[in-house]
Amino acid sequence: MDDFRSTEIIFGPQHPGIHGNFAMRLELEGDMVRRARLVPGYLHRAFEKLMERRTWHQNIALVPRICVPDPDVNEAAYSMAIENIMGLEVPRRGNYIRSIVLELSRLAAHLMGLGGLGGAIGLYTLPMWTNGERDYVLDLFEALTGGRVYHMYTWPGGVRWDMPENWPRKALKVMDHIEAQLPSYYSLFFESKVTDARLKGLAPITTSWAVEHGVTGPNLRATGLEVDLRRDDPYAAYEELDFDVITLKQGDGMARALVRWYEVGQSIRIIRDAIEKMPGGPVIAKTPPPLAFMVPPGDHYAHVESSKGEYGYYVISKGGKYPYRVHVRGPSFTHGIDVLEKMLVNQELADVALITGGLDVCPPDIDR
Amino acid sequence: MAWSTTTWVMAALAPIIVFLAGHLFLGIARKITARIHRRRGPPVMQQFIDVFKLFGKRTSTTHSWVQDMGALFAVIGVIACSLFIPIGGDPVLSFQGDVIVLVYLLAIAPLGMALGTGSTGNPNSAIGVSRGLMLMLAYELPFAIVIVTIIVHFKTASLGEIVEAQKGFLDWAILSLPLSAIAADLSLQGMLGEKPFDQPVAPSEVASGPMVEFGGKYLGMLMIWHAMSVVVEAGLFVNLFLGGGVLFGGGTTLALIGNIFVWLALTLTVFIFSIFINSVFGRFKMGQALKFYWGFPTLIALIGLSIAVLSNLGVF
Amino acid sequence: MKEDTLSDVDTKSENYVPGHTTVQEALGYINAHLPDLKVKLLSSKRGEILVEHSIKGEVLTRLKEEGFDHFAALSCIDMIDDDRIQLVYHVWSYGSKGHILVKTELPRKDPSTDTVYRIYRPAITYEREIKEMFGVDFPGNPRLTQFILEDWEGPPPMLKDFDTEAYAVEHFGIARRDLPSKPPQPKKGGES
Repeated sequence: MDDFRSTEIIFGPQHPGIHGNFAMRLELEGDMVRRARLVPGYLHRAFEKLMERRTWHQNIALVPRICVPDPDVNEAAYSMAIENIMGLEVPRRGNYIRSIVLELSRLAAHLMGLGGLGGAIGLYTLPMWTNGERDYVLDLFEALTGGRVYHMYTWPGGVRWDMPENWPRKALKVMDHIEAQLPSYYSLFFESKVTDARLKGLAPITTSWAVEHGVTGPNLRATGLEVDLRRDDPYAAYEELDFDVITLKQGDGMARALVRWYEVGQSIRIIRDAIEKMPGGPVIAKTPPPLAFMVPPGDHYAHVESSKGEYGYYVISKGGKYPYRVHVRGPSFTHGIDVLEKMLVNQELADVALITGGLDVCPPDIDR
Repeated sequence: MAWSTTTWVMAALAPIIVFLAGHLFLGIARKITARIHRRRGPPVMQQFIDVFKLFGKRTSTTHSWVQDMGALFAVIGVIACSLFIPIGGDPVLSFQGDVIVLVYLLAIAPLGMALGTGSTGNPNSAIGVSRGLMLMLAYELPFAIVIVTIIVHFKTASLGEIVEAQKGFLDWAILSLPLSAIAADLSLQGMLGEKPFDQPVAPSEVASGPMVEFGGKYLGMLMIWHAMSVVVEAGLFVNLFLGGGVLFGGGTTLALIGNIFVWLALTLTVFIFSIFINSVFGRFKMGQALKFYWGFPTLIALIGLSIAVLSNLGVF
Repeated sequence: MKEDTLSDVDTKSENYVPGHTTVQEALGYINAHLPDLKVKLLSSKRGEILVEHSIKGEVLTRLKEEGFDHFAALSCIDMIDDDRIQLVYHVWSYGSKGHILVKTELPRKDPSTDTVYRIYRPAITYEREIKEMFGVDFPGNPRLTQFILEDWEGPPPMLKDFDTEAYAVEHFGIARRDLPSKPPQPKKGGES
């Protein structure tokens, strides 16, 4: 490439438009990106290595740190893998509470992600509002688990303790509140001409391209393929809960945003349904105490549908107190590097933050 | 032409009034934006605090003397503008054709900023500056047509006389030239750099563009420039369309002081209106902004111009 | 290298049809074609295939033809006791909703196996990470450039015999036993 025609911009990690702790090296010709290279690694904490040296339960405190906006999927997938190797049966009530926690987490993550989109086009009112609602969800988490951002609540065998008595009522109240606010957010963001101009037809992808490149979750559903691990490979209590899998056809930035938008409504529906159908009984299976907790040799790949895509944990045990190896498959590992490098090419610089935010890339998934 | 005492005093006071009002307005705007965001927001005086803090800082990075000149250019350009704007109906510098001089002067400050940022060598600021100049091209077209319309309508190219001609409430140009007023307000949105037209300083695209290499005292200078230009630009709209705030006649000092406050109140109203638009819209891309300005606002500005010309010819 | 872009995507011929071969059928099919493979059905939705690393490409190609188009992950495990490095290719079928693990083993000394990124595109990044963290080479992968470890000179850090403390002592000159029990207090008065 001609040296005098292109400018190189290092977009991040210190850049207001970057979606977390990674960097992009963009080669620009005028306003157009001709080449994008992603540079991860600013947040690498070697979790996979650390987990080999901590007991099965100590790792519960470690895994949620991998994904900040949506931490509960980590605990759930990790616990599910262990349960499968051990042959543990989670009590029904435990599964229901897990579903509620996972949906609350998805709700919070989607609200934050939509706010990020607002930030990327400069509509700062939206992130302020949605993050305000997210705070109510965090309040619910605090009342349930004691932690706001990281919860360490899901546990191999179930959940750590039962819900407080008035918690379901509080949760329903927050759900009612968020649902009442949703129309105003819709008209603020999706009914705006500017959003239309920015998001419609932005970096469209087709289903076959998406499947080929390992795109999962809402981004794949935005291309029209009806896939959702909650339905395809049911875990927790999703088999018994009532919800729709949202799909849209266009596969562009608008569709990706709208799928997330509708999933907020579905999460509220699932939470209400789960609270209504909540069975009695214990919340955790009988397991050995943490210090004597041994997992028989075996391996299992457990995956869950996170707010960003497929989250998988491949856990290998050789018996004993520590995992032999844990491999974490984060959705952004594909979205954030290979897919993004392709999608950014021939887009304007102005759209870089919007495309990254639209894919909901979470760099800690890469740097785990 | 010998200056009267009042003119001398106003010449000294005008930049100070604009300086104080600018920072106050920005503080109020921050508070209002915060309330729309459902936040508490910073104190109204925050803008003053920020500027004084910035001037108290050591500047750690400077690039060349061109950067110093650029920041100075921006501030001096806007101070010069403040002398041309009739504050409370009393312009310091007034002559036939001062509107045209003012339109050129308004471009000096952004050019100064472009000069300063060009010397820093940061690609983000270079892109920001080029976007700023493109945006200027975009909004200047409808705005220039509006200026011509005003000149045709009032048959004078002097701001002082334009204000003079709008003495009564019913003479306000916003009533006689409503289409031009809309076009001017849309241009004002770009001139103030409020969304949907804040591409030059878009944080998520070019990391705040021109400001990116400016810190400490430089940033303080740019903040002063921004605050003062807000008053000058919104005030220009008030002078062109809202009668320049001349409420009290009589020409006494007391009436002048009263008029200054009325002018400030009107300016604040115009600015707050643009802040409202700012907080419920996202940002256009550069091409979309150009398309927008050369479409609807230019069209209605042209219609407004034809109406003014035709009514001058006595068709209506 | 020419940048492949979204405009290469053929938007006209868009009709993605997920394949509906179940895990059981796929395993039977694989077994019929390559009879000396160890094939195990773990549950109705999960199967496992153990292959020699030289023919894993063939197995994966067949699985993809059978509708297992989603490449979920590529895991690498250092089996230090067996002196082996295990690679696990996770593939998933959107049609039959089945998961197959293709396991293959490499010698621990100079591990190297062909890339599968031409079969499953997402592997390009997984292989890049494994090259860095485990030292497994994937000839044919064009993106085996520096990924996360910047200015790294030591051995691949995710290997079981990598001694983190020895590395810290060597590179930073401090061991765990040398660390003060209390964190050092900042000195009073004046910043440097």
